[in-house]
Amino acid sequence: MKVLIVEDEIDLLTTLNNFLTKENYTCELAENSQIAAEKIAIYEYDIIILDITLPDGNGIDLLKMIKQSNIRAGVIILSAKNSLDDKITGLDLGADDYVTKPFQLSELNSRINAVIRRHKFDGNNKITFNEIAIDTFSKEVLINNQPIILTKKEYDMLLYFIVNKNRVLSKEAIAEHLWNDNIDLADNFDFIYTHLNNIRKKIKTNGGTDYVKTIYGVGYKFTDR
Amino acid sequence: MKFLTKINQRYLLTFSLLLVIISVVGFFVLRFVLISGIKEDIHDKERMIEKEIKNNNLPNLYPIIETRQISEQQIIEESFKKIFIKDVVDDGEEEPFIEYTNTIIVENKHYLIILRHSLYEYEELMKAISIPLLLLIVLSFFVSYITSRKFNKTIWKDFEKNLEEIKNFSFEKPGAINLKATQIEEFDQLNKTVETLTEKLQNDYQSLKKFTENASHEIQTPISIISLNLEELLQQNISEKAMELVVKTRKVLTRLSDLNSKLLLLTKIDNRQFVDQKEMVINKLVQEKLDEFSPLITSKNIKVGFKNDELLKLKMNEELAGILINNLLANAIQHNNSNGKIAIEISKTSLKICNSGLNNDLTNNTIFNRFTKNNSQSLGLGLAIVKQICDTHKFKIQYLKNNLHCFILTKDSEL
Repeated sequence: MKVLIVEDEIDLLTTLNNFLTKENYTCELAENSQIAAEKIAIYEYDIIILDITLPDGNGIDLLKMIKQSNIRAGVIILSAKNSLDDKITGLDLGADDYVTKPFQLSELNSRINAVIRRHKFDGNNKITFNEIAIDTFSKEVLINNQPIILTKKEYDMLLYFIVNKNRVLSKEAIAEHLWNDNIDLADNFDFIYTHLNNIRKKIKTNGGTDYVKTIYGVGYKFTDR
Repeated sequence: MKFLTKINQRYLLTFSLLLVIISVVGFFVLRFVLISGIKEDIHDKERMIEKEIKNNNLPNLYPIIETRQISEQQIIEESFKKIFIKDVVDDGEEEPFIEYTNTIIVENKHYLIILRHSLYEYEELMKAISIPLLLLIVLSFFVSYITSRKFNKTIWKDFEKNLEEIKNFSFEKPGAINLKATQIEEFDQLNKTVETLTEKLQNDYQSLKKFTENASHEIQTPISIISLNLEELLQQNISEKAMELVVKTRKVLTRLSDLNSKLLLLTKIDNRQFVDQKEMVINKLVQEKLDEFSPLITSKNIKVGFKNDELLKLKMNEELAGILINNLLANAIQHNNSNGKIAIEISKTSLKICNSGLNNDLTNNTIFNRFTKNNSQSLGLGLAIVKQICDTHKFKIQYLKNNLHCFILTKDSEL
């Protein structure tokens, strides 16, 4: 998977590059819209991560250009502006998703995955992790090829875990992913535990392994290591 | 009162007053001129009669001339008076005359002279002159009034058009104000002033808006970098103690970022940057938010009562409506006890959200102020945002406390 990251803040650019490289993406970097426009014209990307506020032009203009030239890449907008108007403008212009700063890497990872899945209609909707398989098209979860029934939240949580496997996920990040930003007013995230326990039970009773490790005081990690 | 009406009123008043004065003065001047003519005529006759008397003639022609000799005791002072005499020639109608009485002395003999002059002619003349004159004045007055009114209207039409344009002007809408040239110097000067002023205001407003947004953006970006680095730190093999520190730092960072975005939101509401309004069904919004908050509600074991029989529709900005309901419900959950309750009541004109909670004495005055908080976890901006949203949409928001803490939003019945 080739990713182009368009971001003027070098620190942010580096962090994103490091993270996505670790997640096995091939990253190219552009720190302004001119470089970005050149790269987009020459190379093909699967995903473009686009900061909307760039020193030499508005990211929205770049997005317009991408969409006008019929480039197939999925576009995820990064923005510090958490306003509905900006979101709607971005999505209306053909962006696939909109992530508001500050965001979590695991969240960005989930969004990138979702965009990739949406763009590959040609078959590969399956995400597998050992004996667990998720068909993201039919939203079906199979353990050793046996379907199990999960609620919507349980499904979302499991998908989030598998996409972000081997990463420590804080409770806040999980809560934010599943219940939006508003959840930040919670002083404890015990309700996550209830959902997680249900998933664990359902997987185990169907002969699967519980890959969820509790990291004390922080959150959880989905791993088979 | 409209300028035009005021002008017309003044015009009408001045002109009527002038009309009355001109007519009255004109009448008296005319009368004076005519009467003095008659009097001169009478005096001429008197001299002729004096001559006749000297020639031993006593001319008598009733009712015009009467002369007779009188004794010294019967002397009468010179006088003019108006009398009515039955017409002897015509049909016997009473006719006005001016009567001149005088005594003259010719060769030591006293003669009484009475001269009468018909006023019929004079009155006809008065009529013949003053009526057309009056008509002419009244007519010219009306014509000038109507034409000036009409002219005024056409002249003011452009002005009123421009006024409407200024009224509809909004900083939000892009583009300069478009005022019509009126070809009247004063109006065009005004237009120019308004155009310069609005352009300057628009520029100031835009730069202020940009500044606030950019400042917020500039703050969010470093926060993002810290947050991402902390997240990456969590992925390293660090001690439990270090992890705890990372988690704590992240929590504080989230608060900082929240604070930043909420202050930005307040500024944006202040600047009236949320323009688009549509009819929002509050019942639907409350239900959606309740669903969203359900994990929190369940985790605190809060009982929710929702009286949802009537529809409350509010014309407001969609984003702000979401924030309004979100903040009210979040407030009711956050400041609630475990095993507490929330009672929501929606009527056609109001939304009431009550929650159990600590029995503290919050007052209506300070609760909506910024940074009013009773625990360090909250930012103290949620209710300030609620108030701000209600103020901009002209809704009334009240805080009441009985055994529950209640927030009541009322739609102004006049709106």
